[in-house]
Amino acid sequence: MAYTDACVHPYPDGDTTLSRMALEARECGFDRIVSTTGSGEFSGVQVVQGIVITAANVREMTRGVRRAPPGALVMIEAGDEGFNRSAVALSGVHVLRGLGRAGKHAFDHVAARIASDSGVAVEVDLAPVITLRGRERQKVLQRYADLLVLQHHYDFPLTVASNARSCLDLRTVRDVVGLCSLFGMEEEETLSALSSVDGLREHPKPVQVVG
Amino acid sequence: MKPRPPTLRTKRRYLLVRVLPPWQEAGEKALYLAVADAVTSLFGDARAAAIQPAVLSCEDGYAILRCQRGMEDDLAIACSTVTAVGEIRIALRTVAVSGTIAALKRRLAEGGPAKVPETVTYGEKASPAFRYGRHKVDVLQEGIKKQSRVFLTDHDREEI
Repeated sequence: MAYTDACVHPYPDGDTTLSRMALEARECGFDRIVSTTGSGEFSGVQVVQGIVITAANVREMTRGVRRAPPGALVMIEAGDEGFNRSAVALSGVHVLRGLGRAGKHAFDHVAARIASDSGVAVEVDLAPVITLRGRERQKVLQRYADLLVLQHHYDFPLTVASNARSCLDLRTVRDVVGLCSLFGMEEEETLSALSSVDGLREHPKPVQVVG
Repeated sequence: MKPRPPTLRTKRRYLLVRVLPPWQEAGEKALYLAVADAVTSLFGDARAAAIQPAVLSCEDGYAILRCQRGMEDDLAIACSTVTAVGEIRIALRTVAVSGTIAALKRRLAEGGPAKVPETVTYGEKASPAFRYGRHKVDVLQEGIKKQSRVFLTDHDREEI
């Protein structure tokens, strides 16, 4: 089982180069990372190109997905309820991210069912769990616990990401399991989420009109 | 006060924690405050009182923490939410848990990281840097207001 950190932001977005991030990820127990700034293989860690699309509306999102480089893991920044339903229904999208910061009803049972049918994963971002304190962190933990209820019912894939901008933001696999237990994820569920990126990348691509 | 007999003493567990970056000096008291704050904000006062976190030592890039037996998982989770000691950004990574300090000390690597930076050429100017591990290089850059850090490997530095 290959464990993947589903999103990191190396230099120039962060203060750590891609090869150093890969080196640290290997020490943390990861076999693969999804990077927003490059791809390749460093220190025995496979680096997958990821692209984060932040769109104000569905039209912008569709344009962004069409322009995504081939082979990249396409991640959409979550918005309101309607936007998220459209995002998980859009072919070419692999991951819906940022639900910890989205509104309370941004991801409902309808979106969960669509995500399950279309094989789109929802990202569990650990950065707010680590960095926030007090009421803000409580909100994020509530969102993830709620997300987990929907996941148990509809069985859509989950991914777990550190969203590290520095090698100091990376956490070990054991730490990730511990942090996910804060909102009720069992160890097997967390390990399964850490290895779910393989299945997403093998997902069939949208039909494209050629010529 | 007469010490309690061993059967009546509370059982404890000790955590060996790696402090990153290893060349960064983090005092025991400052580290304790950071860990205690993380435990309290994550689990609340009641659970923090049950965990009883304490920092026994902090040197050469490693710290030994103490907690009540059965609470070591909670303390490890809280340690993973520590992002800074005072104003200094750090990360704590739990390496091992044991019932004795001696067992943890046996795991410590001989000789700590270098405390004095060497000078490397980064970009077009010479900058202080710490080299550790096999290929890790942490370069310190003097900014207008404050010092920033860039984390590289030997290979990156040659390319730059």
